[in-house]
This record gives sequence, C-alpha cells and structure tokens, in this order.
Amino acid sequence: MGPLDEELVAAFQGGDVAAFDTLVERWERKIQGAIYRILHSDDEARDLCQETFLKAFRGLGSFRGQAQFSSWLYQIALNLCRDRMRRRKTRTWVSLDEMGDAAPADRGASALELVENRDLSRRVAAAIAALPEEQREAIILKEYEGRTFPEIAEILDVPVSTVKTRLYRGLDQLRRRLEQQGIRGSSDAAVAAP
Amino acid sequence: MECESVREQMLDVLYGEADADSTARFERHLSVCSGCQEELANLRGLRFTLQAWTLPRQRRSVRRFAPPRYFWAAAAAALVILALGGALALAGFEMRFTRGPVVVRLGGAARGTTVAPRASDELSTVASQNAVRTAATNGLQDEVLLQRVSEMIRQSEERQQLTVRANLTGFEQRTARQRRYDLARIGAGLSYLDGRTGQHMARTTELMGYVLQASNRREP
Ligand SMILES: [Zn+2]
Repeated sequence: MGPLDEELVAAFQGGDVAAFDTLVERWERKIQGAIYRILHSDDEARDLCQETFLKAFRGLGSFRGQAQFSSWLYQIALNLCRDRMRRRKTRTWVSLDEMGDAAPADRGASALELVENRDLSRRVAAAIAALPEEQREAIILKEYEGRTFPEIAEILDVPVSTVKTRLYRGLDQLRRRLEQQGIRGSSDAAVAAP
Repeated sequence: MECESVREQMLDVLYGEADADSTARFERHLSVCSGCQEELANLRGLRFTLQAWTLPRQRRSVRRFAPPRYFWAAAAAALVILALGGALALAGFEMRFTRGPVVVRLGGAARGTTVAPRASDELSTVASQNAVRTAATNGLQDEVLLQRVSEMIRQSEERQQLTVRANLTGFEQRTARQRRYDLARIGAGLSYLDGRTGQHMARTTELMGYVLQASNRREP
C-alpha cells in the first residue's frame, strides 16, 4: 500500500524531493485519464497532465493540507482543462478517429461485438461531451474517477448537495440523449464495480 | 414530493455510499413507490451503459514529463550547485529564447565581484557553444515558461543577496532552504522544457553541469 499521499507531501516539504516522484507515479494515469475524458484529445491529455504535475511541483511547498492532495491535483487539472476549453471557444467535439483506438473490451469478444462496443463508446463520449461543463465534470469525477461525493465537493468547492444535483441532472440528460439514439441500459443489468 | 426528498439517498445507494440509516429510509420509500423503483433500475442501466466509454491505450506523459532518474537529475545538479557555496554566481543567470535555440548563460546583471564575471564569461561561452537547440514549435508557451523560470531565478537571487548583506545566520538558513527549493523548481522547469521539445534529458543535466563547472572555477 505504501505511504499515504499526505506522508509523501510532508516528506517532500521536508526536503525529500523524490517523494514527489512517487506521487506522480501514483496519480499520473488517473489525472491523464480524467483530462482525456474532458478534452477528448490524447495529445492534450498528456500535455495538460505534465502541466498539472509541474504546477503541483511548484505549489506543493506552500500546500498546507487544506484539501486532500488528490483533490488538490484534480483541482489543478480541472482548472487547466477549463482554460483550454475556453481557449477553444467552441463546444467540445469528439474526433471519431481519436475514439477509434479505444481499447478493445474483452479478449473473447467477437469482431461484431468489438465494433458495437466501439460505437457505443463513441456515442457515450459524445453524449457526455455535449453536457454543460458542471454536469460533465460531476459525471466524470463520479462515474469514471470513482471519487466519493465529499471528495467531489472538495474538488469543485461546492456543497455535497450541489454535487448530487449536478450529477443527477447530468445522468438524466444522458439517459434522454442515449434513449433518443435507441440506446437503453438494460434495467436489470448488474453494474460493474467502479 | 417524497420522491424528491429521497433523491440524495438514491444517489448514495446507487454509488454505494449510503450509510445504514439512509439505506433504511430509502428502502422504506422504495417498497411503496414503483416510480422510484423504476428510476433506480433505469439509473443502474445507464451506469452500465456509461461503462462502455473506454479510454484509448494511454501513453504515459511521464515519458515526456521526465522519467524519474532524468527528472531528478536536473534537480540534483541544482542541489550540488547549492552545496558548492552560498554566494553562488547565479547572479544574472539568464535564459533566453529566440525562436530557435534556448541559451542559458551566466552574467548580465551587475555583481560587484571581479571573479564572477570571469566565471560568467566561461559559462556563457560554453553555453553558447553548446546552445540547446529546441524546435520552435511550442515557441510561445516555452517563452512564457522561460519567463517564469527566469523570474524564479531572479527572486531566488534577490533573497540570496539579501542574505549576504544582512549576514544573519538564522536568516541565511531559512533562505538556504528556500533556495534549495527554488533550484529544484528551476531544475524541474528545465526538464519540463526539455521534455516538451523532445530533447533528451541528458541535455538538461549537461546544461546544469556547465553551471556547476563555472561555479566550481569561481570558488575553488
Ligand atoms: Zn418515489
């Protein structure tokens, strides 16, 4: 399990610069994945992930544990994403080519299933991309990052009830949009553990 | 009305975050409300659908950000420089970005010693001979970053000079620590730049080596 994030932060602040490296190893994939889901670009995800950790490296000396380290990291990443989205000045879009190299779901899946999964993956991504920013962030943090409600409240700096409202509205919109395309989650489907 | 009031509990249950009390409360409502039963089932189905969005195979950004041994090499070099002496000739340490190569050199700002300029000259010669050539593709962003790095160096230097003037041991210890941190940040900035422009990290270490070399000569 290794040292807690907070212990590594304390070690870094005490002069053990290598402790930061462990934090990078621990969180890089998650952060990069979250950024990818917001921006839909592999290159930008890697770029902003680097930037997130560079900012964290610069700021960690004055980090006082006002939030969990991971929440603080997500905050940095989200702020960078918002800046990037604003600079794009257009709504987010999903490149079909980019979505094309989505990892195959199962080893045992048939070619047809693979194509169908890929198509569904793309449609879900597009539906989430079309959500208002606040709802999209709530959905990504909850559904794909597996953060708890109190953690998301910390990251977004809003009350837990607000997080739940945004999430519920987002889920509601998604359901409608996907249903319009004939995609209906089977109601008795077991939900895979996040 | 009642349905609205248990919505938060429904989300807690849906994501496995409900405590015993709210689970019990929600289940009492669920047993008499077919609407909420259907809603919960729908949300479960939706969650299942959402899992279909998979990430592309991730290429780790750390490869460009800096693999550990490289990333910290630059910071370590900075620490060595610090160990070589408090009044290190980082005065006027300057980084320039001119659309093409990044040039790091010592000297420029006035510093009242006779030795420092010599060391500065040496370094600037070495640095310009071995100017790190970077692709200008990320020009603007790199320029901003360079400005930030230069600013960090300047601030660090200001603190250092303040120490020299004040000559207070306690203050010196505190600034030394801050300076160590500053230098590590500078190292990180350099390696970040390097990563962005696709250079080998060895270049950064090399660069720090020049600084080291020059400061070595200055304070034998
Ligand atoms: Zn109800």
